[in-house]
Amino acid sequence: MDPSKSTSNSQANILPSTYDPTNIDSPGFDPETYVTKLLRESRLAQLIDKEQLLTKQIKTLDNEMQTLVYENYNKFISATDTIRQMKKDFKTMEDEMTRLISTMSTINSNNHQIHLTLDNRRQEIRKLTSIHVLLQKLQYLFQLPAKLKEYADDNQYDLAVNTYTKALKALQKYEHIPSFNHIQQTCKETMTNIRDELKSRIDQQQTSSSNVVKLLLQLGESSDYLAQQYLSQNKLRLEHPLELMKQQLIVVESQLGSLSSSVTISNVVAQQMHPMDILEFVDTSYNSYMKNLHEFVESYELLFIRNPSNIPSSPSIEDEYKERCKHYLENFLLELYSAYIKFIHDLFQSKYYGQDDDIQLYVRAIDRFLRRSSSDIYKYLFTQHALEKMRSMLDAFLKFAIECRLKFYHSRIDRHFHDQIIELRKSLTIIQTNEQIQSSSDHQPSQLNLSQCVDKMLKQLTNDIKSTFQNLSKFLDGTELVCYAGKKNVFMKQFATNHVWNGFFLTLLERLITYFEHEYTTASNHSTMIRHEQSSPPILLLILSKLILDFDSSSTPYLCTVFEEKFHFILENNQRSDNQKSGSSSFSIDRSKLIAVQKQFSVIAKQLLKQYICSQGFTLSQMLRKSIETRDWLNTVEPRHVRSVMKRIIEDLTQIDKQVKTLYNDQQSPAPLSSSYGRYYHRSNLVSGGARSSDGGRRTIIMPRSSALDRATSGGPGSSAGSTGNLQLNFHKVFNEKLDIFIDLQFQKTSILSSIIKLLLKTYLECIRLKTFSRYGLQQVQVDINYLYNYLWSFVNNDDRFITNLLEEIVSSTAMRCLDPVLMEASVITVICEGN
Amino acid sequence: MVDDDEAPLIYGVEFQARALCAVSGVPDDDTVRFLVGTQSIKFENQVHFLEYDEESGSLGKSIYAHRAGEIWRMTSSPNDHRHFATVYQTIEDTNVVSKCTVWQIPIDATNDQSNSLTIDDSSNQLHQPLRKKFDLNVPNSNIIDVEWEINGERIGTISETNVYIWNVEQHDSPQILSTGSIDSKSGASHKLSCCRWNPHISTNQLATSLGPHIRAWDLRTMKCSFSIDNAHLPYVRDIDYNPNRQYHLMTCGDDFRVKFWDVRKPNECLKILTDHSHWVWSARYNHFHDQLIVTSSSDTRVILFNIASLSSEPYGSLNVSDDAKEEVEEIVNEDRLVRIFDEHEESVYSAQWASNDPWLLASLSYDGRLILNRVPKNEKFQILLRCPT
Repeated sequence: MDPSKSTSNSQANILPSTYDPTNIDSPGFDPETYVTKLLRESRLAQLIDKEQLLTKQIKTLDNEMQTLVYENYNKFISATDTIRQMKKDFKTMEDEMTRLISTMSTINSNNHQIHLTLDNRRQEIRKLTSIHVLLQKLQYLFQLPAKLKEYADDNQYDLAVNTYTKALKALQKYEHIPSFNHIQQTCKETMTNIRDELKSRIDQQQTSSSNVVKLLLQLGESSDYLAQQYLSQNKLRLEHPLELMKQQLIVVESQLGSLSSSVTISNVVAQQMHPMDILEFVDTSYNSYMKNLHEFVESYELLFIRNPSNIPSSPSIEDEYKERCKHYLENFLLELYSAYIKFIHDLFQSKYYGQDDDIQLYVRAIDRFLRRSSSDIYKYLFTQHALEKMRSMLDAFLKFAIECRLKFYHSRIDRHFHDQIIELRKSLTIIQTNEQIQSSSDHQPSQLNLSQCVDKMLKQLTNDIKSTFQNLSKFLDGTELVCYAGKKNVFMKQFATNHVWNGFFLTLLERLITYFEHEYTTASNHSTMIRHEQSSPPILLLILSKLILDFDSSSTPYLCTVFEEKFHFILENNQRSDNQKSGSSSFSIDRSKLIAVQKQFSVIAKQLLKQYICSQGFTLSQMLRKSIETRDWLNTVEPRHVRSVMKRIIEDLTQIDKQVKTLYNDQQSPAPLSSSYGRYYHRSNLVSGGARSSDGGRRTIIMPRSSALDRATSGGPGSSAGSTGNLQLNFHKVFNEKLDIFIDLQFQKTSILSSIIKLLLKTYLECIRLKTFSRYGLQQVQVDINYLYNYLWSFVNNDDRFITNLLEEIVSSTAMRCLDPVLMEASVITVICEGN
Repeated sequence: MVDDDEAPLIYGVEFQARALCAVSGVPDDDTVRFLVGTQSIKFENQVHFLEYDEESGSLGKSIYAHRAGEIWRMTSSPNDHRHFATVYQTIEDTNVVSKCTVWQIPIDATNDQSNSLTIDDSSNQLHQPLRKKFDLNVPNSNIIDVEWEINGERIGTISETNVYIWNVEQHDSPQILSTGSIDSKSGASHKLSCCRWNPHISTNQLATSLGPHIRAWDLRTMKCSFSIDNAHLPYVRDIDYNPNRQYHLMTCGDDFRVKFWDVRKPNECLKILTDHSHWVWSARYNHFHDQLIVTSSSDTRVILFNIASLSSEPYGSLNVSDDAKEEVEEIVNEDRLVRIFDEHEESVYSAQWASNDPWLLASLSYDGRLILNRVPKNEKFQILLRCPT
């Protein structure tokens, strides 16, 4: 009790609630503490009550314990009884088991005995059955020849072949036995008959079914021969659709002809007759033709390549056969394909389809064709060689198709352009006749026309080229097309550089140049017929030169940017390309070729302009020349008027001036503002001519150089004036630049007009030098020259130094050629000139 | 040295001048001679007889008075270097009359006496007058051009409407052998202006220019043997026969062009040169190397061409031995402009080859400046290398 007491104490200390030593039911109950507590806390009466209660409780507890012990004891006794009963039962069971074992062993031994007795019989039966089967087989063999013959007679070749191939092994096995050998022989005979029959069928019939070939193959016919035969016989059949398509194409073409020729056909009929578009055509032709072909190839492969050969032979030989068959097939396919591609070539070149305007369809047709065939060839072609051949064929086709298109566009643009030129010519003749009717009233409408004409033609040409670029760029949209040609970039680059840039654009420009060179300039050194020279009216030349100039300066750069946009290219100059080659990701084309072409353009424009100047100058000169040549200058009266030809010349010049002004402006060179003022400036200052003021002031009257007069007046041979005059005569030339009519001709009104005037005056000079003049002749020339002088300078924008020089030269020359050189007075000249 | 050789020799005549002709060579004499005639209304006209000695590079001159009038054309006798014909104009009764006379240079040019007379032209001394041989005039017609037959037996002259062929073997009395006249229809609108004697077909053909057309006369029948219509609008200025190719002809005119023709195909011209910028007044074949052509124009320029493609000389490579030569030959094969002589300041109305030096040419401008030029050395050597002889 002590240790428990101590523990309970300690426990009570730690856990006073649960191990309350005062609680009688708690495990830490301490009777001492309990009692002490009771004694301490309770009163006597309570204590007595407590004692009584406790005693009562102890008594009940004792009773309960006694009943428990008794019950358990009873249970133990019944258990012991049960165990004893069980022991007795087990013993009987064991006895029954031993008896079962003994009966089983007897059954076993009996069984064994029965088995032994039955075994002999069974073996016998087995033997008998096998003999029976063998006999049946033999019978089949013996019947075989007859059966085969029967089949052969009934044309059931496939059955015959099947039975034969089944029996063949057995026959070969028992070959050494004579009777079997005989059977085999007869069978073989029948089969060779069949084979011959089949072969003859194959050879004779146009179409051989794959069945027959299969049978023959099974009969061991050489696959070489068969394959070739098969291919050659199917070729015609396969090419048939192609023929049909070709005919269709021809029909379409002829229809096109009839359609265009007979306008009377109503729209409905035309609609009905409307043939397929190119895409459809390609599709259907491909379907009909290629499907057949591919079905055929399928069957061929089944027959010759996938089918294991029946003839026992070494695998290597078999492989060889197959290879050969494949080879035949490939060649065959290539042949057919090339025929087809040829047809497609024709199609794209044909009038109807090749000239079709719809680029989208065109590109899609090409694309469709290429895509389908390129996917198909991988299926059916085996060797690298054939593939390459095929691809090169397709490549060539692609190129061809593109070139066809380019040609088409070329011809279209050419046509448009020529139409326009013809139209222009027509309208020009109309204008000219109108002008003649209207005479000198006002030419406003015709002038407006000129620049409009140029604009119109330029626009048309530019738009044509631009739309062609647009159309050509569609080639790049067909992604499959691009995929086919390998790397997208490579194709794009090739297409853009080779076809679009070189093949289309540059060629077009060059064609234009040669056209102009041929038609309108006589500068080409080839032998030219004479009629060419006067065939084109001068205005046309002027318009065309402006057209070329504008095309060169505005359209070409614009088209270049269009090209760059459409094809993602960058045009580069030579030097730049070196630097940028590494950096730039987009492609680039060297611009040098274009620059060369542009240079040619400006040369041509200049030539046309020259032509214009020559022809205008020529017409004016003719007028002047006639007027000088037909006049008797020795016997004229005193001049009273300016000759009418001079007025006429000024009028014509004014008209030319107007004409040129509508097309060429002087904006490059800053024209002095005073020019408009100067036009009406009256030169009234009277200076007795001769001395040319060196400060550049304008002379008012043109007079012959004093030297010329000296020479002319101071008579007498050997006079000193002769030599000094010569000196003076030449002296002025040191300061005058040489006259060159076409030197630095510019695309400006002033430059053009001064060239024309130079031509005119030079002619004047030369004509004068061929004549001899009297006094009045000289004076008449003086009047004319001064009249010209008053007007001419306004045409050339105040740059009239050369005019003064030339006019002076003319008067001097006239004085020299004058028998009696007496000059008219300057004031009189002015009066006469003013009077008109 | 090169510069020396290529530098032009310039000679001044004191009056205006149009007429220039080469004087045919004297056998065994290398001296190159030219005649220049002046054109002046007021003064006494002169004929300058120029002798160029290649050895010394000096130009000897003799001046003779041509009192008959101003000289428009002249041509020298192929047989005698002292004889020449001039076409000149004088005024008679307020009318211009154009005449033709054959002259003789009075004393042999080498004579000392003539030298003494001509030296002092500065001292206003008269020049010795020319000696008149005979006139070639027909009453009431103005002679426009004169041309000596290549063997010197006959002279052809033209008026505005007629062609006259003279027999001049008897030096004193020329006789008209035959005359031809253009039909009145074309005569109304155009006039004859220039004539050239065909050196081929036994010299029985004379080509004349009729306004813009070319008319050739068969001298046996005086009928038209060929005609080229509208060769140059509006005027043909000069004609020259290729000295070696029978049917080839060169013309030039007021359309600024030089054209080559085969007279068998008068509708089609073989080649056109368009390098001049004004009327082309003369065009001449070189007598020794007919690919060399010199033209002169009123644009003050004289141009030398090499037209190998129409030449009688072999065309294409001859000797393939030297690589260096082959390169040269490639260049040679093209027709090209060899050189522009631009020393003149005035219209050049005539340019002529020297008669006995294949590389020398003379040109005369209106202001009286005569310039002797040489074919550039490169060109000369190229031609010589290719020449078979």
